[in-house]
Amino acid sequence: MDVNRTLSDSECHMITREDEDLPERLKGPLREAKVKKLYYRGDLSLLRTPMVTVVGSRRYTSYGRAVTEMIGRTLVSNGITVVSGLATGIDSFAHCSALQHQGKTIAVLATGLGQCYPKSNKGLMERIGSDGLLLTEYEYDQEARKYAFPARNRILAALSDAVIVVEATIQSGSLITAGMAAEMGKTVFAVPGNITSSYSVGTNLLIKDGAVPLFSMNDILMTLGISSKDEEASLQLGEDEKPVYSLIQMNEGCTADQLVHELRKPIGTVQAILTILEMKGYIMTFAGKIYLAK
Amino acid sequence: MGKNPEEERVAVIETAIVDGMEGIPVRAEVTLRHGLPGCTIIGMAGTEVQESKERIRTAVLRGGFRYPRMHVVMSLLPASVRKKGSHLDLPMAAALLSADGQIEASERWKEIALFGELSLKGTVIAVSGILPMVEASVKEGIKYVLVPTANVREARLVPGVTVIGVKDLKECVRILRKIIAGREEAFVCEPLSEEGASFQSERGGLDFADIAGQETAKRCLVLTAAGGHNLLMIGGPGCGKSMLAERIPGILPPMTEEEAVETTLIYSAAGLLSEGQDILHQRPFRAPHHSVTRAGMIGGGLIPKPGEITLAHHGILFLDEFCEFERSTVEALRQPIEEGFIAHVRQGKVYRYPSAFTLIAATNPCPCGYLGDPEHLCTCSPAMIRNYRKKLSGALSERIDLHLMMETVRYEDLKYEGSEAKPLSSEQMRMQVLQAKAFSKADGRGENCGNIEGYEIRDWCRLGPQEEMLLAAAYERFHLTPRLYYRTLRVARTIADVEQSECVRTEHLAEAFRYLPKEDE
Repeated sequence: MDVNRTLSDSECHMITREDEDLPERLKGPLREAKVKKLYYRGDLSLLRTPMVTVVGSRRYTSYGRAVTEMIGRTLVSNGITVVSGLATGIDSFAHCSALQHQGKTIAVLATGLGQCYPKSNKGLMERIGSDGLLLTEYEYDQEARKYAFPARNRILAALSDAVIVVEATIQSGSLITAGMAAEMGKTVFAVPGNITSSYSVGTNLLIKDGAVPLFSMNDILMTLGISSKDEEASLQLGEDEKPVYSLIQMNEGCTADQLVHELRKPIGTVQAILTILEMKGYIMTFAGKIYLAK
Repeated sequence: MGKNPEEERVAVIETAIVDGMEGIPVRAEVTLRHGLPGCTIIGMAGTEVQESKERIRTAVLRGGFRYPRMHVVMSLLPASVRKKGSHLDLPMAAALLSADGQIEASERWKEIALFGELSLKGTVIAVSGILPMVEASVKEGIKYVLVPTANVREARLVPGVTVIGVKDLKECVRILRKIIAGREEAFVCEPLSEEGASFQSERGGLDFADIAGQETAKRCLVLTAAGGHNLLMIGGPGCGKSMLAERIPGILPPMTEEEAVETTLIYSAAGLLSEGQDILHQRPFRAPHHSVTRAGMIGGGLIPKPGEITLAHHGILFLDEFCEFERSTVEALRQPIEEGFIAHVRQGKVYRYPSAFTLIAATNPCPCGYLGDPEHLCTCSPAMIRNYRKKLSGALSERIDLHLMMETVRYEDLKYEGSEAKPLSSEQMRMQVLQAKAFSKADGRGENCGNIEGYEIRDWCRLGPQEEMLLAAAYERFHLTPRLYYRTLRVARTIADVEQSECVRTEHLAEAFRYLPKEDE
């Protein structure tokens, strides 16, 4: 049955549940999610790749950002497609991280393909449309409606075998996604956070309710039955870089000042070493906080 | 009745007024004519000048002189320039006495200028704007200036003129007679006291040692003070931005002689010098509240008063709560930051006020202040944050060399064990700044690195092959633009100065990269 009907945009297409282009394994979950048809732009064959959904709240900390970055990198370097919702915050970082590491990403939208929410992600949406895959239940011109967000979350849950919630405040919609995924029998991971952090209250609660705590990137791969292709590359560290690196390792999320204080080295020296480590790709910094790039 | 020759006498005295930042020579002509006793002042004389009449009359009588029973006409030339200021009392009084024959006529009047306000007791009171006025007089060929005693130190900053302080009208007349009679040997000038540039902060002994941690912030402040780099501090409430700012004056290098005279002139013209003050040694530190108007910031008014940027010339302009300032006020800073002066145009005349300052701005990361705080939830919507940060982006941000993200320091986190591990003090930071400046001067660089443009800075950096490689790699890695590239070089050159290194080395460049703005900030 050929239902690839062209719509307002010559690159937008439609696919129904009965369509043969839709992978078998998705038909069940999509029926459960009550999805009849999907509009898409981009590479539909991505639906045949292994997929993991990565979500989180719009409000994030540099910790959440760093972890999202690591997850994105790990997934795509093992051939897994990152699926998320194009929201600001964790979702955007998940998409960006995948693209940055030459990987594939799928965005499930709460609008039609002709609209973009949030507007600030227009550029990202276009990139995903050309390098990845955009999916939506909604008609081309449909703008974002309140009901559309939880609605698209069930598609996020349905597509993947696993859902990772990176950082969620108590009000985050990503908790809904996690709930739906659990009901569908998918594995739900949650990244633990500081109990004093309001940004991790949601994720910590998920763990309490039975989500799998994500302590290292290997956890994801093992659960999915993928052996890690990413060998621990031996780090080329200079003599003066070693103490800085180990200190960061023990205390991720620290600031340069904290390093200076612990190492009793001059600030200029520490800053210079940090730049070199960052350029070698061993660390990353967000808003002044330093993490290992692994 | 024959014409009284004294009736026809026109006494002429030199003086000046302040227009904007400069002095304009003014000539006071006084003559007496028949008519009802009284006094007329002409020459676009403002209110306080008109009020001089009573002060002059009383002072003349108190001084034991005769007040003529004729009609006095005082004309202030040039007639088309507005006359303002209360300092014209003394010259007009002297001219009056001369017109009345109580002081002799002479060619020497042309070489003398007088300034001073008269009290009802006949004493001469200090006035503002002496420095620019004396400067203007000297250009006209004046050799002697008579000023209120309290203004002597200020007037002495102008070379090439004999400054004499007068405390009352009587003494003034006595001195005038001496000069006219050619008896100058009586004028001994004590040399200007060499007040060493000791800038022990008068602000109640504030010291950077009071602040634990914040090593990166202190480093950036040293770089700002040493190299004149503009600085932006972003941090939530309680991270210490204000505490740090209060202590900045304690580490600023002293001004050069030239800079000091220029600054003193600005403050004199603005009427902000305290009485008896001579040269200002301490660099200005201006911290206007964010409710300041555009005119307050850049200057304005009928005859433009200097704004905060001019008062911060050769010093620091500190804008706390940067994002709370009006957009138009912030926009107005762009040109002065770029060019170092601000031009006000009034009725065809251009007033060019200097405004070469170093900008230090401090702001919260978002309206509620908690964005990025690990414990408190930020309650701002993304749109609110975007709006708030708008002022940080764009042209002004490009001219800020140092971007600093600050965190609240938890006191318990810091252990200072042993005497070596004490918080960096103002004394230590000041030493670093002074050494850096001395190094830069010895290297032949006249200007602050923060002000050196484009290609020039490359030459001063003297980069080796390793450094070039690092720069090339970083250009790619950090997605630099040409502007950011030169910014890095400028900062690296100052770092090298602080480290007393002739060539900018890889570690200096590597450190400089840390202070560049990141895209999402």
